[in-house]
Amino acid sequence: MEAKAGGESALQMEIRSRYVSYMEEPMEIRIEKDSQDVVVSIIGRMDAVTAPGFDQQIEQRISEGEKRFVVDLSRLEYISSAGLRSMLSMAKKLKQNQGTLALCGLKGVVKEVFDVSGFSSIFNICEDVQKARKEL
Amino acid sequence: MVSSEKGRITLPATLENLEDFKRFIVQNAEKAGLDPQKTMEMELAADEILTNIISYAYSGASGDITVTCGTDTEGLFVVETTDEGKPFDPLQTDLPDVSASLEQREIGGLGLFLARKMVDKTRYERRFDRNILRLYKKIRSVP
Repeated sequence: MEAKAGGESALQMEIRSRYVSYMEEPMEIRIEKDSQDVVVSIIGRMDAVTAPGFDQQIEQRISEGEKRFVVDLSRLEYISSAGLRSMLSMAKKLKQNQGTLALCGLKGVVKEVFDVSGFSSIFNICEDVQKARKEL
Repeated sequence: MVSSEKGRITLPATLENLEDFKRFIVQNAEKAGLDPQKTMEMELAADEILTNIISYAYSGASGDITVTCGTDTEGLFVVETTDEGKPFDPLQTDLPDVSASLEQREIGGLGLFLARKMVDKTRYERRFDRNILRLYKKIRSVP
């Protein structure tokens, strides 16, 4: 893993973890953290194989004391109930720790899954990262 | 009934094989003429069924899953999963409470609920000591 410096915004650090799923698209978690918020971007696909990788990253951040999270799903193409489980677990943990969470970028089948399962009404869902940060 | 069989694979029921099953289904769905949205919906339904079989059907012992793809007599794309695990009808599970609040919300039952929601028809039968589940999807949207 290499740490990338710079970028187009004032964010301090980007950590990228790569979890290779068996499809061509790996699931990739990108985490950008500034003084206030942690923005987690999930890229690719979240299912029973790849979701544990996400869980691990989130648990680590929460145990480090992070409380304000935005999860950007704009590049998430696919989510199964395993991924929903991860989201629910994250939301419940943050609630217990007086943390806040907002999701953004839902579209396509991912949005369909959130809607059908009733998850759209239990999460704070915004159009983009900027709006999501304001919700925290 | 899968009347026109496009393909069949049998693999051990392990998480390592989940993506192979899914890739097989996606390839067959595309060949059958499902558009990307419908293909992904069928993939998700199958994903939930397969993950459930992998997790529970053989209670820790080893066993296989056979996935067959084809079209039925009415022209629907069919994915059939067969396992030799303990008797289980995934269509009979309790529905989750989709209106529950965050605190009350549980994950149990959500996967199988999603599977049913993503396809047009489902059928289960127990035959020859096997669980046989069929997922059906219309190839084209009826105007």
